[in-house]
Amino acid sequence: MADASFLCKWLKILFIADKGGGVVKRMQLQLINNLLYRLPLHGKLLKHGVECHLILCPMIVSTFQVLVAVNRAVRALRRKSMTTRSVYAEIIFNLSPTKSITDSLKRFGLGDDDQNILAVVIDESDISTLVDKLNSQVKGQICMLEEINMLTDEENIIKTYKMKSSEIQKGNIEDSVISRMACKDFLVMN
Amino acid sequence: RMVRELITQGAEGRVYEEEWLGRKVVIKQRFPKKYRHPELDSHISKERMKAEARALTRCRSFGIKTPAVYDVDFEKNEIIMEKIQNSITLRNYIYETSNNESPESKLNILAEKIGKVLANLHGNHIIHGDLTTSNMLLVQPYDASEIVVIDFGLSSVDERAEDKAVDLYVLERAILSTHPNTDKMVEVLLAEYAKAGGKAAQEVVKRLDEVRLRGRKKLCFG
Repeated sequence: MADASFLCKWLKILFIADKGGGVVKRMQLQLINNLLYRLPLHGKLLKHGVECHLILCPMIVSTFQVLVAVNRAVRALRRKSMTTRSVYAEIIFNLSPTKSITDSLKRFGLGDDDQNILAVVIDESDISTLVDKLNSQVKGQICMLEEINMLTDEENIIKTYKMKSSEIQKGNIEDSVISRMACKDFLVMN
Repeated sequence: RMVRELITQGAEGRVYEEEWLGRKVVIKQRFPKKYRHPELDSHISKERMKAEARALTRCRSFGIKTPAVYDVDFEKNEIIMEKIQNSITLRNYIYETSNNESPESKLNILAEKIGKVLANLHGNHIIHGDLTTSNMLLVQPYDASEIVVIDFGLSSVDERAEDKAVDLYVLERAILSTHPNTDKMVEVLLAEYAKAGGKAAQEVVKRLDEVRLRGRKKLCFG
């Protein structure tokens, strides 16, 4: 496949995931917009040695939600207790309300038409080099991380996570989503 | 970045406050009970944590305000949840209000709120297990706040009227013994509970009479 030739504006957050329990990984979230060519899951970026996890934007409520999913995934990696086979799949799985891995990849992974992706880069140490490397390969329109809120497909999220109206009225969607993520192993919500 | 700070310590474990992934959170950590067989202890601890996290999340789905559960860690026996900011316990609110002029109307409004929330809770067959005025919060502005229910560490699920009646009894005792001149408030609370909860709730209130007669022996502690 030809060069992933989309325009990129580079993006913000540098975040250190939870230091407790040995989960120390640096992570950077990039919001890449106007993706012109479909990026196979790890595709081109991986070929150049930058492992970058790509998540479908409309299903994301907030970056905090993603942080929680990543933190959990990295912790599972450390404890050798991942449900899936890679940190990438684990993050996607953590985001999903169901226990089905294939289902979660379908829902949260990229499809052919998807233009907006959230890239998550995780590494033990020097993340800025990785991000620069990523930078140099990928040209796309990057947005402010905050703009992710504009891309959220609330209706779809409410449907996917099976939220009731009583819940939405009284609370916010982010809390509902993250609570379900946290309790997924032992709670089935109808 | 904020380091873990101990808020309180009970029989079951410790409660900390910390900044986690950029947010202020509350961490409930359960003690291992050394006198128990380790496998049994870890099993019991895990079951209690699951019950607590479940109750918090299910209540949310019924429209009852609770702290959001952010993460559950069975290895460290920790539940990480939302810290409710700008809040006071019902206990403090009742105390403050009682000291002002003519507190009755505010307390009655509060009582109705409590009655409604409990009718919802019990209507969904969730037994809180430790209903006290310290386990319910109000957020600013307090007078207009909805009730936020916390600490589901002793919660269970039961459809029968008995445990629900005991739940109410514990709260009744907590209010009456902690705050003077709250008889009317409890009356209003129970009336609203019965009204909001329909037939099943009325059954519970009837059962409450029996529980009262049995008295202190009905409580699991004391």
